[in-house]
Amino acid sequence: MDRYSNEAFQKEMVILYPRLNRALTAYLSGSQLDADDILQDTLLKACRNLDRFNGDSGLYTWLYSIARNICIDEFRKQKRRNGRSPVPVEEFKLAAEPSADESENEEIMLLRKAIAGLPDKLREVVVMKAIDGMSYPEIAHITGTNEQTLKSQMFRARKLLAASLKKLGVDK
Amino acid sequence: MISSDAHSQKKRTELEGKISDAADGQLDVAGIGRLEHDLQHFPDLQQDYRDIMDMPDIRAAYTANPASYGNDLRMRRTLQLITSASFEIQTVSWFKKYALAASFVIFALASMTQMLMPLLYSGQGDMAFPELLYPYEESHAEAYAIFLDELIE
Repeated sequence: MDRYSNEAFQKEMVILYPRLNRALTAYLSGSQLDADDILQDTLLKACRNLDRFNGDSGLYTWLYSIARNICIDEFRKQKRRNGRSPVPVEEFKLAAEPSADESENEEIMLLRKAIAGLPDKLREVVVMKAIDGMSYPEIAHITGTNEQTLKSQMFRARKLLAASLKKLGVDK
Repeated sequence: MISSDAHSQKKRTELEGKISDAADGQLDVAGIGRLEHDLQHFPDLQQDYRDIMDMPDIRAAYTANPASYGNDLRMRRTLQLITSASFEIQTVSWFKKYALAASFVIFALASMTQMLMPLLYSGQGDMAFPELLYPYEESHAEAYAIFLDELIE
């Protein structure tokens, strides 16, 4: 017996789609990959493998794992094609992404730029923890890293971000 | 000396974790007090702690309301794709589950029919057909032929 029937899965997707989209938009910031494309592949893959979802983790965590694996594969393909980092910070653009008030645009852009400039592993943890609001146990389940290491990675990420934002002239 | 270094490294790792907790808002006032006290022995970490706590909220980079993310049209298209994909998956799953059972039932019925047919028609098959086509009818010609036979006798 499936934990989620196809109908229940489709209903859940209407709720989870925007959240996953936000997380992927942040995760893929600065790359040439499109969050909607990745999300489409993720949901189709999930739908085809719904019988393998055993409910050990939440549905969202399971979907995030699938999306993460697809992104990693795409990053590898890009790296092989381009022979360079898949996240070129210089190509980072804000224009196509949703934003809040115009007055806050500058700071938001700099924050995003700083996040996009983090090393892949640290950016991943920042997105999951600070932006998507996952708990450390959930992140540990997805990445296979223990919680103490994740907290250390989060510390290093924040340290780099603080330095980067200071350089860019962004204060609290 | 090695033991002291290891202890210091362990303490640093622990404090890094606590700084992350503080930045995540997971520490209460007492916890923050203890952390700040412990950081006095690690000036470099103390500076990192101040820098991190002075940093703007990272969450502001991507608005809190996830509903503002994702192209509505793309979302609807993806959800339609999932609907049609799940129909295919259900069909295949149904076929996998029941096709084998159905084929066994059909095979069993066909075998039974083959076995029962000879029993049903044994010894009657040859007669049944002409009788149905030419039903028996008493005719004058036949009665006359019988009359002639009796006369000769």
